[in-house]
Amino acid sequence: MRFFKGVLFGIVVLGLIGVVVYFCGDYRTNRPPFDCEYVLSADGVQKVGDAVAGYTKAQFRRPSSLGELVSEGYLSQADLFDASRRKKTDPDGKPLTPDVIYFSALRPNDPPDTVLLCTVVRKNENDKYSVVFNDGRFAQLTRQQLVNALNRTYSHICRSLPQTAATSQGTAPEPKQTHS
Amino acid sequence: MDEKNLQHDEQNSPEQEDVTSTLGSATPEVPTDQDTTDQATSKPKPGFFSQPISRSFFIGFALTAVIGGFSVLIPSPAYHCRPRELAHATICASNMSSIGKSIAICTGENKNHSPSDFYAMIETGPPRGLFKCPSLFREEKCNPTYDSAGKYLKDMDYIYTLRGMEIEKLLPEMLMLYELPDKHCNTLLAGCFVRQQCDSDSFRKKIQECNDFLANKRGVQK
Repeated sequence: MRFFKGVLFGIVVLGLIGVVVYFCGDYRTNRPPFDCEYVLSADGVQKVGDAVAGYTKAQFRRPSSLGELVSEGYLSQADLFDASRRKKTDPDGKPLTPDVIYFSALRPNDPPDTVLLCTVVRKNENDKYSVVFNDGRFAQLTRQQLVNALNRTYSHICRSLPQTAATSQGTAPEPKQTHS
Repeated sequence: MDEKNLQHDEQNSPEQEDVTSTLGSATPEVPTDQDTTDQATSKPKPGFFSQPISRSFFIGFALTAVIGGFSVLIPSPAYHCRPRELAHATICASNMSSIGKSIAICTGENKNHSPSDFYAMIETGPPRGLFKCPSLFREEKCNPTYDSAGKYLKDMDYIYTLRGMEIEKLLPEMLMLYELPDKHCNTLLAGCFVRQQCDSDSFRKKIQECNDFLANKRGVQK
């Protein structure tokens, strides 16, 4: 009888250890690869998207950089960074890259499903990426959707560049049926 | 001393005794002669921790600890997933390196211009399995396939930036191929160098530099 009590006690103790190990392991394996604490929020990305739309409407062209929106008064410097970020300059005193990626090569008449603004890192495993498309639509995409949208965007931009092989290579060889 | 205890017991009513017994050790009990004789004659109350650890109890616990310990700890994520994820990051870097070499081969065959898309180099270069990152815990596994026209490779894990560019005019530090950071972050630069584990600020800076380069290439907006 005491033997079975010992077995029971061992199962209880191991169960508790197992729960602790499981959650510690889950934390260790699910954490991001590097310090991803600075990500512009969805509202922040929308605000930057609205500012770009306002600038385009007033100036009839897209801003060359997000810094131009700040200098023209459409946004403040803080709007381009995560609210929790304190220092907005690097150790050399230069301004940091904003926490949102801007595709300045896009034009208003480019395809609407190309990416104009997006976040490329996320704080948590289940978070989604905030994206503003070229037509001003805001969306939150999964990783794979964003990868596809970015590839589409780069493909379009590079095709529209003057005098590159991307434009001249319009007739690429057909892939074999075995790949598809 | 005994006389005082007896007087104290006499002063306590039966109701008060019930209350003190239910409260347990909340109120200090003064042992009486009758109690001390009871403790001497009666056995300790049966309880899990009241009994001394016997040999059979220890054997049962030890057996469970040894057998259960192996079954719980060995397959746990903390011991296995981290090295496995490191291996997957290495395979991913190897994939990128292979893609970089294929880009270099295609570039040599195409007047120093990088291929306009992956489909252009799959014919002679890497199999489409290379375009998948083998990382663990991916919420959705990609399946590199061609689109309905059969010309465009879609649904892959890597983002190809500088398509159709003249490689000699690019800086070696320009971002050529990258993946969105998940458990690791590999980037392939124009110098065909795979960089692992860059920090988020420099990663964003690299992408923005690449976008600005493309914007300058495209020229002034009209």
